[in-house]
Amino acid sequence: MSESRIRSAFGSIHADERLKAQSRRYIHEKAYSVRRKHRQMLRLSAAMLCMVCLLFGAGGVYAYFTPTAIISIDINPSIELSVNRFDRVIDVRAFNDDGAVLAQQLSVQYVDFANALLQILQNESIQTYLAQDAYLSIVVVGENAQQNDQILTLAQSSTAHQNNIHCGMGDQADVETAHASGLSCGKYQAGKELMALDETVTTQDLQQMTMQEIHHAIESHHAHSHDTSQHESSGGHESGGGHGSSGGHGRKKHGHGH
Amino acid sequence: MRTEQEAISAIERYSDTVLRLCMVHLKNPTDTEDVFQTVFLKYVLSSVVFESEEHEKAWFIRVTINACKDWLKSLFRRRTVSLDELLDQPAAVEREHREVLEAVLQLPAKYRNVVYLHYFEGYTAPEISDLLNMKVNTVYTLLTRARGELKKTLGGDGDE
Repeated sequence: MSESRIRSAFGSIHADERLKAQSRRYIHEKAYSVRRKHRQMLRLSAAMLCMVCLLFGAGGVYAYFTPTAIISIDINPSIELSVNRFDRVIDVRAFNDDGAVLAQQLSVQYVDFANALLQILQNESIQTYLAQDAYLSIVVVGENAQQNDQILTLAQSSTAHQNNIHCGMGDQADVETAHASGLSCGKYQAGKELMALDETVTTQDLQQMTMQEIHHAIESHHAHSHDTSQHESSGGHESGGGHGSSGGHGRKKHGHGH
Repeated sequence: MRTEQEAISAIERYSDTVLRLCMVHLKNPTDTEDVFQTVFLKYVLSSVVFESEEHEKAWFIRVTINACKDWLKSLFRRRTVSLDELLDQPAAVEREHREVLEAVLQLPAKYRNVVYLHYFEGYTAPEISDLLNMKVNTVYTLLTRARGELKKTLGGDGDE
């Protein structure tokens, strides 16, 4: 066997110009052509678009399901609507049995708060309570002042023709305490006022009371305090000349609690 | 990624080596063209920095052999033609070399690489063992056996 024969046999094999040119074209097409670069750019853009959509999608989902306001509606059914930044109701929470029944009857999930509020005010059990002159409280709590005002204005205009309705703003700081006590923000706000007047009242008592009862209890405490003050004035204590009472309850039908 | 100029230059310098290795393994002109182009595309996309021309050549040899093996593993791509058909291809051989090449290409696959690398490219057994990632003794054994087979086919002339 000859090494040189093998060497010259392999040496006789050369890549012809056709193969080289074909390979140059192939490489150009696969790695350098403008069309390919465009395709790569297009693919890159599509990937980036997907990423952006995913990020914004995730952010959007998070934003959608984050409540920015709470509407507490208490008459005897005691419920809270959680409203997102897009003015949609994302949760309905009941704080007593009547509230649970009402929540069952409602179909307000993902509905805008205006329609949700209207649906609640037109609900049969609410209408029955209102017909009996029950006291209805609508309290709005939230961080976004503009949204709070919108909700409150709507609540006020929707209930303008009714008696015994209180629409007001709640205190954001009370939300946790209210919920920890098993009370809605609106009921806790009224109950807080009552507890300040009567130290024997507890949050457990408030859970069992209707808004009408809480309202009456507050009114009667104020009336009693007013009577005492008048009695003291007519009893000849004229030295100070001032008004001993801390003042009337001063509750308005509609107004900002805070 | 390398520049197009680097790719063109590499095609000029290594196309013969790549083609011969493809021929040794694939026995099919169409497959040879496909693998040939694949090897150079791999070069373009590779970020390996070569220390020398020898290093670069060794990279081409290794990548070509692996690309051929991968190609053969793919059942869907496997196409075979007779040796005659292969050697009749335009890129192939003159009559006088045909006998030698036929003898080499008829050897078992494991012998063909070492024969080509040793007898044509001039690599030593330790260098081939590095290139093909096998023991030096195995390379010696393969070379000895390949030499024996070729002697049987081509006859010895004392030129070893």
